[in-house]
Amino acid sequence: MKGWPGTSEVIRWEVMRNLRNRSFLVGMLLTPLVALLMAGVPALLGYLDRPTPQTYAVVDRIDGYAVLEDLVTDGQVRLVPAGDAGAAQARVDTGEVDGYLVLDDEFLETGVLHLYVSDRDRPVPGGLQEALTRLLQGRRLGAVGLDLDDAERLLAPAAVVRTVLGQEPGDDPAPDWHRLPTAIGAVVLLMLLIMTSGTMLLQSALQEKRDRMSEVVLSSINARQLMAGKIIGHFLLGVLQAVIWLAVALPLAGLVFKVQITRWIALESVPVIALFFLLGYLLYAALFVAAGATMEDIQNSSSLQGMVFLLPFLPFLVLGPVMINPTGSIARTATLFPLTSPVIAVLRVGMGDVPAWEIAAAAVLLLLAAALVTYAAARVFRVGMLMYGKTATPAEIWRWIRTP
Amino acid sequence: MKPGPSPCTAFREGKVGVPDEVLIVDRVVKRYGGKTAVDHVSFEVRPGEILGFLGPNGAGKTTTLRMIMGITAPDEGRILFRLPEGGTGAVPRGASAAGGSGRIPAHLVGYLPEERGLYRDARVIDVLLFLASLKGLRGRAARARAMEWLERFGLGPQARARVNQLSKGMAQKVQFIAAVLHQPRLLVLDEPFSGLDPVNQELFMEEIRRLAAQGCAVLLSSHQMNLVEAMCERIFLIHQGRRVVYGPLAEIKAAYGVHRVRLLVRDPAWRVPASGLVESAEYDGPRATVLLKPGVEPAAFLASLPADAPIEEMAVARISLHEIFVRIARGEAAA
Repeated sequence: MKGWPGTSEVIRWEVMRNLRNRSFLVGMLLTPLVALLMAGVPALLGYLDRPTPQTYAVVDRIDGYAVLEDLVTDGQVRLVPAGDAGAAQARVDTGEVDGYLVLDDEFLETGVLHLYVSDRDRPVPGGLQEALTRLLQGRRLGAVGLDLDDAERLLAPAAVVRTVLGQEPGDDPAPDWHRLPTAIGAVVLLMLLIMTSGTMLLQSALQEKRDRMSEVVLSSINARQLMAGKIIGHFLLGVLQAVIWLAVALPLAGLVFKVQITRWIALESVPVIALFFLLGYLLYAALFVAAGATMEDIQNSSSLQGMVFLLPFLPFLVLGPVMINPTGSIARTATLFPLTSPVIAVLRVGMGDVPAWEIAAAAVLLLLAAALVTYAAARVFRVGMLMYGKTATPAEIWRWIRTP
Repeated sequence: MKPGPSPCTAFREGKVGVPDEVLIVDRVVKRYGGKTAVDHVSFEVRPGEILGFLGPNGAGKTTTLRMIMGITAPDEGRILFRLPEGGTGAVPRGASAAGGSGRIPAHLVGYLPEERGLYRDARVIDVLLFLASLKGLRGRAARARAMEWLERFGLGPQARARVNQLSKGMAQKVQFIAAVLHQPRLLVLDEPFSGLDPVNQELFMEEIRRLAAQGCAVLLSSHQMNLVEAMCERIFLIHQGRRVVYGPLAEIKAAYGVHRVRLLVRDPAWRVPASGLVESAEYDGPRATVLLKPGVEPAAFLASLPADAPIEEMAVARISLHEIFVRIARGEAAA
């Protein structure tokens, strides 16, 4: 019973018993529904409370009605022509329109336009304000022999194009705009996986002890096989959960935001992100499962064990400085530090080009840390799983790690 | 389940020679910090026998059993398996084996630990199939055998019940089934009778005897001396980590089991005459309990009594294993 066979049985057991567990299934299926509800309720409220389109009569004395109508594009304002102010006033009185305005020379001269409305609480629609501004600018520019396009070109901001010395111009392309969503998606997924699978892992180790099963199981396989089986099994469960959630969320997001989600996925950064993702999961999974082996139950966990829950949030302490200065010393340190690199390195890959040596060094450090933590966790797990009825002290845990 | 060939029966019938040991524990030492929990312990278990492994609390029984199962590793000595069907192996010294039975022929060894339980929220059949799969027994064969055992223990209808729906006795039966489902050739039982009612005790004893009769070697650790006495032909008694008694039960009883004579006398004031034959005598009204010195035959004691001794009734018996155990544990009898 060496190696993979024992581990594969534990993986199958962990996966199947959770898939047969009602509360796990309910959680897995209900979470996307709750998330949908949470996301959908504000959208629904916004839809229900959306401003109603307003109709204004336009008395046109400068031959600008057609231009103005073209410029109003937001759908919230409708214009109708009116012969004179009296006719327009009458249409307001009958409720046919919400108000009226007069396009005349005074408007072109002063830039001030009076909007006559029946309801004092109704604000001036932004779309109308913008269209009138464009009309005014166009007319005034025309008066001095320019058109709006010329004016926009004249007032356009400077475009700074960076060219690295020693390279041909254009060899320094701007970062892929779609890398960042990929990186953010991976970070969110990793955090989700660590928090769901990690918690389940910890509870699984606790349950093994609570149900007095450790010794029975360890008489058939060794502690490393049991730990590996639990880590991989819960990883698969977490991935299954994530796949189900994404299967609901992605098409829905595409529908709501009217974008093609696949265009947001930067395939070229997936290998690097996947590497940090897997190593990051392994690091935290090993920490969580070892923490579970040292406790009697969650209520009796010590502050040291409580710290384990907080470690995955460590990267968020430096997230602000990293976003402001992605190449600064804090960002670089957090990229190399194994407890923060699964998040920070991935985000920096998404934000721009990170030197290859930094990524390689971060990956090697994370790999070493994951191996070291898994090794220490296996030692803690080995002894902790057979310790019933008490929570281990830090001194005991340290002794277990040192004991060969 | 069809009983397999029984080497033990064949041995008893004289058809084969003396069977080899399937488990050899050889001068095993285990230390925790500065304390020696197990100190150069050696014994063997043979196919078809039930070896009683006895000792007071803290004597080192569970530590020894955990070493045999590869859960903890011995600091010194060897633990060798010589099971059939490729079941040879050894628990290595040092920590390389600690924390699980990676190097013992686990698929041929069954273990019922003292600290035992079941996954409370899982179904009975699922738990049994998982534990069987860890021993290499899978698929339909595993399911069929699990159902057979459940039926045998009257738990067929509970196969799909969740463990937390079982009574304590039912759960203990399931634990026992989990230990024997894969048809082990060596069965290590740590306090299998604790918490059982007399009916289930009898059931377990019957099953253990049946397994031994089929050739399974059984190492049985228990505090319940009357049960050990009823089941084991050989015993190993451990005290403070060391062997104190090891051998056939009859020989041990002959060596340590001095005779006790119970007397009912007409005169409560009468006393047994002092002689070199008597170890001790206790009196309670007309009743007297006399413990003879080791090696003293009851007839010799009888002959030493005066002809007019006011004896109404007399009963002679060897002291029980329980008393031997207690006397040894208290240091009243030397090894």
